[in-house]
Amino acid sequence: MMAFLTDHDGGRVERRNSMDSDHLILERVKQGDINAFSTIVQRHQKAMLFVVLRVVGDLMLAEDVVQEAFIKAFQKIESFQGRSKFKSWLFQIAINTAKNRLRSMRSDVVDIDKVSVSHAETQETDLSRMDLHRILNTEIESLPPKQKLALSLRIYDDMSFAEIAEVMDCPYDTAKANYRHALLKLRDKLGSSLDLKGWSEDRTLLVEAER
Amino acid sequence: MSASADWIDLLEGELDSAAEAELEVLLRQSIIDRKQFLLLSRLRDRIAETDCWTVAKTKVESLEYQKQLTDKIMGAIRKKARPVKPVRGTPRS
Repeated sequence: MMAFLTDHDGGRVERRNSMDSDHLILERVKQGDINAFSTIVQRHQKAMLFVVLRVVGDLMLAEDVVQEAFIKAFQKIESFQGRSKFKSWLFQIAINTAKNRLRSMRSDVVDIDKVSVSHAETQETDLSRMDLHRILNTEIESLPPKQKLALSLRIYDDMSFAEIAEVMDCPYDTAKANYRHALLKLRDKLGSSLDLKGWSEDRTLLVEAER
Repeated sequence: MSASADWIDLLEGELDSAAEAELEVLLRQSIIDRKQFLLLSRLRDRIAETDCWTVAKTKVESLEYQKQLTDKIMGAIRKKARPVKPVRGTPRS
């Protein structure tokens, strides 16, 4: 069975298989069918786990957060009006739950929104790929949380900036600005390490660029 | 908006076709701009390669793990969650 559904952001109508539609499953859940919610869980748990994992940094903790987020989503299902994508709404709950969990774990130490770990700058010019990955990981971890989240959602989870804005509950331009700042900060910190000449596979491109 | 922001927008496919064409002309004409763009492009590629959760990902990708997680979550929902009250019709946005 096929259905026509209205897209959240522009009234665009698209054709989807109704069996695949979150919205139709949600209607069943709203009618009291708890079992229908397991389809929602199955569909989104993996992607949610990856996103939460990047926020909390521990798989077991991420599982707890995802579980708590699904419980909250189930309890608040009536408040979902379909103005945003269900997936974005769900991820927003998961990220807020993750942040709250971290806050409660670290509240006596630091404000999680202001945390920024300083690292001695490494400015080697001839780095191995493993070295660069290690340094990149360290620098990504040291980014302000919002920049790190925007970067992760864009590069690792392949989300559009519109989706990132929904998940981060911020304007589109802010989501994009967070991503840009993150990328430019990493470029500035690792500029000399990322020198194109340091990468053999880039030499062709560089030679082309210099022609 | 800075030139770097323009290159990032080009990299992310965020520009309209006219702006994209304009920057592509610049890329063809200026070595410095080409290097700037390539640097950002390579940085993005390197970041994509540094996903430090590869080990966790392998575990999470397993169907058995996913089934167990679904069962655990649904078990918790059935146990803790307030049942949804059946409603007449569904609110539309």
